[in-house]
Amino acid sequence: MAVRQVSKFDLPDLGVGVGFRVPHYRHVVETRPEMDWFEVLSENFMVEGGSPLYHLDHLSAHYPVVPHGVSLSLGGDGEPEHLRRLIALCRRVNAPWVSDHLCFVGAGGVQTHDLLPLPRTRAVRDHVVRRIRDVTDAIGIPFAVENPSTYVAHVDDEMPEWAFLAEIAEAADCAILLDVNNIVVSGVNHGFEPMDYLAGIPAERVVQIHLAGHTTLPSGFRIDTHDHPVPDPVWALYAAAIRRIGPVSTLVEWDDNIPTWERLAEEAATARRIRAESLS
Amino acid sequence: MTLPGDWRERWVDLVTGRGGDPSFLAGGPIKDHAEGLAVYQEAWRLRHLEALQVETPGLTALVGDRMPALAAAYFAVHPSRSWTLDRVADRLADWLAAQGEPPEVVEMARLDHRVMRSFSAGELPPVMLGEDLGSLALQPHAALLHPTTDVHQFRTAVIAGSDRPPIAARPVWLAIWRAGRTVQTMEIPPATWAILSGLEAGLGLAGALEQAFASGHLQPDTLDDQVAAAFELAATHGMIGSES
Repeated sequence: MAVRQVSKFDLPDLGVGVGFRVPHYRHVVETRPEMDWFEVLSENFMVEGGSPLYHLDHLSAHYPVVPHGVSLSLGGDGEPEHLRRLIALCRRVNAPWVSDHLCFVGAGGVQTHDLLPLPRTRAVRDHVVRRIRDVTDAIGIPFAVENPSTYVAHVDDEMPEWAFLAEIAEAADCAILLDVNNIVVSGVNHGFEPMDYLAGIPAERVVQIHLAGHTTLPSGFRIDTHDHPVPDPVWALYAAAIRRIGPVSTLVEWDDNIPTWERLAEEAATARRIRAESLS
Repeated sequence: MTLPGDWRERWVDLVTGRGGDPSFLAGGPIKDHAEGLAVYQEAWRLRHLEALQVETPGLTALVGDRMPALAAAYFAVHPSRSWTLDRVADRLADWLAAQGEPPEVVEMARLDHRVMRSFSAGELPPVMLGEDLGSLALQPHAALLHPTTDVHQFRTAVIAGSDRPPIAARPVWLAIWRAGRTVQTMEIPPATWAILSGLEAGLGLAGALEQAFASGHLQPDTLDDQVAAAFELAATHGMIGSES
């Protein structure tokens, strides 16, 4: 593998941050604890006013903030109102980039609010490329596409997920948000080697890494629950990713059974340590 | 089975329990395609139930163990059509009414919905001294309800974690608005309610007063006092703003 490549998007290395979640809103806004940066769930702040925007404005006044969405539905059709609000959010927090998932979330007007897997075909690849180009043109800042966790594939899949992601990123000239937890989860569920995935990703397009915990069922099947500490296989893949990609912004996600701020900050500190060790 | 042209729609039907042929999906070394699909189906069910419970704390407390069945039946007819889960309860009160649920259940769902919408609604600038009062409008975060039961008292107790009072059948003129970052509910005089509901309907000040007078809530002999009291209350609590 190549070592310590840098992103082609000339984006800042924000260090290690965490997701901004409701149980920590007040603590973060009122005490401004040490943290390199925050990621916010875009859809939670694409509102007209009130408490979400109050907390967002106080957050973005003191920390770098990156919006991360779940409803762009790159494999589906775009929704103009969603995009309009996303653009407003990016401007509001002066976002350096914005991200969403390589998936679709609904069809025929029905939203499942889940990250449904895409058939990895050339036709779907081309559709996603068009969607990302449209989104990037509209938003005007780099767009990063994230690999999701998946629990099924499609009988007509024409390429492995890393090739699908890489071809899309190259053709759309977009960035990649590499979720190493999702690679571990999908690797077990679909029987591929996480290191093969990592090797197949264009490192110079990775602008951010996601870390999270997951649930292992008695059968060994993995579910991307974001309700546990980051497990050892994810830390190991993270270290390998940093060695391959270089100093890239990293974000710890913890979305269910959310721990105290102190425990979450510990997880970020662990990521910071592993990142530094992997770069030395 | 090769990938069908309408694979997105088929996926959605499968996930939301509307059925279909899942043979275009492929399993892995641990779970076959049906078992993998079941992960998405269960996630969809739990995510929507949880979202509905978050959006309707009063209703959830009121109906208790019935909530999962109600949610399943509701989403079978009204799956989410918004990019945000915050809107999953938009059609719940009307749907409950159509199912023949009792007034307190329907009215609690409507109250929950209005309260939750207020949390993230926009805000008009305050009315300034000397400004044309024709620009007066009800704040987007404010709403008016006229339930036939005092469900708001039960809901307030649920939120506060205190003893829940029995719900009584009586007409209530209710204002809902955001104060700071919290949402308040308060019974208000019928005359005040009538004037503010005219503003909510976009009638402007003159139209709102006309409507309130026509409703019988404004009396000619106390008109000045009623109007003054209404605007004092609305202004004091930040229920009104200027659209200019």
